[in-house]
Amino acid sequence: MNTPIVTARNLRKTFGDFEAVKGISFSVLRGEIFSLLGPNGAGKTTTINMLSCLLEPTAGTAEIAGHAIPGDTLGVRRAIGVVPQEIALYDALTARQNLEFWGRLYDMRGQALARRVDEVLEQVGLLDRAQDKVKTFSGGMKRRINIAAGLLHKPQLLFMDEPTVGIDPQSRRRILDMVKELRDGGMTVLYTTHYMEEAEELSDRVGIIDQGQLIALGTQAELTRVVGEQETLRLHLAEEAAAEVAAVGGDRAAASPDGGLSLFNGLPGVLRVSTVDHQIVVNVADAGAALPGVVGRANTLGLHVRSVDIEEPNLEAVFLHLTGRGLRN
Amino acid sequence: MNKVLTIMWKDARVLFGDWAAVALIIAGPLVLALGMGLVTGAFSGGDAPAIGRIPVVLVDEDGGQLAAALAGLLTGNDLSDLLAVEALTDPDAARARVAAGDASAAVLIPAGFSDSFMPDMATGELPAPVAAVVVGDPGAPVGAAVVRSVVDAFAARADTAVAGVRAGLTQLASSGAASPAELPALGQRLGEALFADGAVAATASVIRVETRNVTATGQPFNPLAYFAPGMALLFLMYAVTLGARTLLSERREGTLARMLAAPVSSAQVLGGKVGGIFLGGFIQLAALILLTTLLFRLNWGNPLSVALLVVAAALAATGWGLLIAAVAANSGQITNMGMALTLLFGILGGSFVPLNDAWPALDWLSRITPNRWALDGFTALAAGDGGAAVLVPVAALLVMAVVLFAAAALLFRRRQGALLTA
Repeated sequence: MNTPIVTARNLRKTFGDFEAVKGISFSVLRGEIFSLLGPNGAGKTTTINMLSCLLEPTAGTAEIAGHAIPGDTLGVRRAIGVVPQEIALYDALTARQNLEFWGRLYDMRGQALARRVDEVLEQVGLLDRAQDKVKTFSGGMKRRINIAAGLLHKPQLLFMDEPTVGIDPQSRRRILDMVKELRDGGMTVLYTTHYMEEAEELSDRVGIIDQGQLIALGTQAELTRVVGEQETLRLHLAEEAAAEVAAVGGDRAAASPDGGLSLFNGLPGVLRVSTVDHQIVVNVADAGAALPGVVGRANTLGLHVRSVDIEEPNLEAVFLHLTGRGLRN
Repeated sequence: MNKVLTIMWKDARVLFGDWAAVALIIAGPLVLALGMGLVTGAFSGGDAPAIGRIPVVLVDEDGGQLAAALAGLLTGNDLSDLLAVEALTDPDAARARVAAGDASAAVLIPAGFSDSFMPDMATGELPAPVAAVVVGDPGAPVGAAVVRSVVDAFAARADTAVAGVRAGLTQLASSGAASPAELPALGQRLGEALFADGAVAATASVIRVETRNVTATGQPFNPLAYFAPGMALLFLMYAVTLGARTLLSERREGTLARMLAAPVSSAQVLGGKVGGIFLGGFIQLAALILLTTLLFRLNWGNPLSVALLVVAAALAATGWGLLIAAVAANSGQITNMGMALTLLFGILGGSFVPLNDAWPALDWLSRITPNRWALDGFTALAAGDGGAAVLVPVAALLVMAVVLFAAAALLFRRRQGALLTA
């Protein structure tokens, strides 16, 4: 498990004047789930596209299962399976017809292809819908067929680019369980997401990416040590208060020099503050000590706090610590 | 090659798996061809629907010999296959029949018509001319034109005869064979002899109706043999537009990227997409030929020649589809441009109306359309001409395909970074 199947060295991608990926280097070890975690627009999909040979890197190289990028792109494409962010299927064809088509592009034929199609349909729980047109499927079912198409040729490495976007919680649960089963079966998975919970649940190692750069990489334990013993107070606000806070959050004049909010400046133990949706996220040295002051200040400011969560160090806190922003800002 | 065929076949399946598209590209031309056939009488019995007789009403208010000659011409045996003449007594009633569309034309012979060709007994001068009037139905321009030309020919013959009489009298007078006093009576007798009953046949003989088959084998003409391929070719452009649209829609939907992430080259992907467009057009044409043969018992001609023409037409149409895809920015633009070209090529290429008497410029312009060349070939084959009749159309279509493919390839290469990559 310790040998790398993916090695990326200083990968860069520029579109005109815009540098989408600014020299990313990382490895993915065989048999692990490696997550690239970052907000929308961080460069996750661009990185995956370079490793999938869909985009030629502006600079840098990579090696996948012994095949070089640039260089042996055909070998790379034989070794990898891709589950794209889009549901890349043909609505007018049945599930079986879709999979047979994709299988033929991987040089699968005849009975071997038919058997394998049945296997992956069983694996994603849709064997009974094999003869139905994809356009009749729910979003979650389409996502599962999307995954099945990436598994047909039994790749050594599976790229999954945000495979749970826009689906119901039940389907999402099913997909996450499927990813873990794949890893347990020996497959290596490179998984991109902007959901911290997914990265925390699935990953053996995580690379945190923001604005085209890899800002942290390691196991979850290694990453959370970045924030030390810091804890997070998550204040859930009423909707009307959230609007005020959002306005303040966009007001540069009220921001602290480090980019966080100034709402709780001067309170002991408060390290960093940001907003996410209807929440104020406060990084503190000691939650127990900081909590009364934070809640009191919020009440003084007229922010109606409905509930408070105390969280152990997590990837969200790591991201907040490193960038001053929440993952979903 | 396998992967190219795989992509081709997938595209054809996707196209023909859309029942709305199938209804439009198969049922649409079939129904239109059926309609055209009904209108032109292609189903009236036998392979050769007769050209219907032109309904004409005739009012003779003159009653003279010349009027009788004209009436005899219109109702005589020589024109009986062409004209169906009904005699009326009231000119207003005749005009009303034409206005109501019950007759293509009315021939009104006013009083004094015959006498206007006879010189005055006393003075020897011709009276003021009194012309026969032809009232035509604007809704039946062909029939009205035929009647008008018959009457004009008669009048011209009559004028010639009168001129001949006058020349003859002048000669008699100048030679001294007749005295000036005798000339009016002589002119009267000459005129009567010229336009007497026995001379009607001579007058009428200038106007004859002849039926000739213009085909080499003399096969009877079936209008459906024109309109069925016309409609099929009209919708061929629409079918290839649907196929061309998938080049951009696959990029938008991510299936193109997925293909390129597989061990498939961009050349194979493009080849498969082009092949898919061609296959869609070919299947559409072939299906229409088969259906019209079975349902309408239409004889398209030598099967091998027909197949060759279908392949060539589908290739040329594919070329146009590719060119549209190469210049359009998105699939919506492809649809709009495709629809515009479908209609334009249909009109220019003769899918709706034969271009036999087209302006030279229009005839020249029609040759940029696959419709024109393919129609020339299909109609020649249906008329019984041999395989050689399709050589020129096939060659023209293949040249068109090569030129368009090359142009599209050049444009695609410039856009390849945007088109074939994510």
